[in-house]
Amino acid sequence: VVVDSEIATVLRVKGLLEFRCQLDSTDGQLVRNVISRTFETLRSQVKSESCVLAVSDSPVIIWPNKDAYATPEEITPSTLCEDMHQWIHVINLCLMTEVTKPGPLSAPILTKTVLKSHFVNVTLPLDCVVCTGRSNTIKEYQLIEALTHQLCEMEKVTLQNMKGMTLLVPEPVHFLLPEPKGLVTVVYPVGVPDSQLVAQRKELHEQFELPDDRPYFRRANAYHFPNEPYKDGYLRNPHLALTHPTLDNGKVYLVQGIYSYHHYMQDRVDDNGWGCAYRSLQTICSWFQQQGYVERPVPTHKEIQQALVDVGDKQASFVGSRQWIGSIEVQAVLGHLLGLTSKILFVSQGAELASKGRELANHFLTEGTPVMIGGGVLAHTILGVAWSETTGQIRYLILDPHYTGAEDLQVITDKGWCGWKGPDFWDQTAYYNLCLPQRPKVI
Amino acid sequence: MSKVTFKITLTSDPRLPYKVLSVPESTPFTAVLKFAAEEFKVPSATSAIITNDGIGINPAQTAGDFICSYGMCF
Repeated sequence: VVVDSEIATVLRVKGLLEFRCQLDSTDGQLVRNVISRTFETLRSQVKSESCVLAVSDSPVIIWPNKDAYATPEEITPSTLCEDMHQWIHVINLCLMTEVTKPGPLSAPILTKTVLKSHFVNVTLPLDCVVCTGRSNTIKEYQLIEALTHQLCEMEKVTLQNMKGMTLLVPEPVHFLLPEPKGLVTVVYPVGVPDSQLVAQRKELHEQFELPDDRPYFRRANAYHFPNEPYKDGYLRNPHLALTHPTLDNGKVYLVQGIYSYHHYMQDRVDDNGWGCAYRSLQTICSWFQQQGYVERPVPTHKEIQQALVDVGDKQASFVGSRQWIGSIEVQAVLGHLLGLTSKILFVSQGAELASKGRELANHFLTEGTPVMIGGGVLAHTILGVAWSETTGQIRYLILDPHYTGAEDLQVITDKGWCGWKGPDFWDQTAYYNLCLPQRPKVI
Repeated sequence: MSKVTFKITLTSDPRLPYKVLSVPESTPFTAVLKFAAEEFKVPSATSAIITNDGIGINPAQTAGDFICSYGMCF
């Protein structure tokens, strides 16, 4: 994964719009007409002068359809994005509606009609992103266009997923596709699992010319915006904070996608001294979950042990023990709990690992999954290699599960708990097994 | 009961000795491993069987299932 040094700015507009309509009949076609008309009303609302965009964490308020804005002093868009660490700047805006307008004073009039009808009241979660192109400016009308386009998409999805009188809420999800496509927003119906949306994903893969053997549009693939913290508290991709080594004629081959760093003492489990392979396995499971291949959460130590008993690899007394596991057990658990196939590599002596450069490089190029390595009484996770085809020089990007501290990215990278190691990192005379998980060929 | 045949090579021995084993197709793979380990006089608890291109095996499979996934089946 190469980090793009060009800084792109993304404007993200989020807001809630009330979808309300009265259905006087249950006739399918009439219901659809009412729904379409209600969406049309919402689109007009967004294009009207009462539509307001408030820039989050700033005093700037914009009336996009009146070409007006309010700021206490001169503020330009560039002064709003302070955070230069991410390669995407996100400016968050909130969609609001003016509810009062100037006009003649009059007394309100209430009427009461007694009528039996269905009343639909849904809150639509609007969430649009607009990216700057080369020009680095965004016009207000682009934001309104994005909002009305999303309302059209929502109308389509709502009508498509109507079952009798049940409506499903349409929900926008953002995906970051490989360059140059960038951020793409897809509207999915809430409550419909990924397994029932295969046809939609196939269409999207065709539309964006994506390979049909790996998922890009499962809900788990949703783009995580840089300013949003992860709720579970685990660090994601700590290796991105490192500088990669440069070797003569060498290239860096890294894990693709997102994984969580699992290590000793997390989740209130004291596995110091025995849990390293379990933690490496958890890191691998987190990768498959976050790339959308499995929905199952990362297994606990007990669940891992139970899986090994269930496949006949260990006796029942294994569960609850502090016994070590190795690459073969990791492969068996990945197969049994996550349905995955893994390749096993082995070297009879640690010194031979240096000769596995080509194979590891190829693994990260084609599969891009984290590798678990066990041997010399230790287990580690390999997240990448820097390898020179001509000189044979090699470095390994290691994620160390033996870390017992807190989720402090600074400490983890400074002290080398996630870091680049040379061939002397391995016990030169010990036997090593490596587990290389393979991606299932699905979307 | 039909049988399936495997050629199993011991990779920890530089001479790469191999044995050809025939087992009933319903044999669970854990039993195949135990039998192969005994034949080679190595401890089964620290041994594993992988395919030629390195794919690890699900020990819960039967010998017949395994052959159909990775070998030749008619």
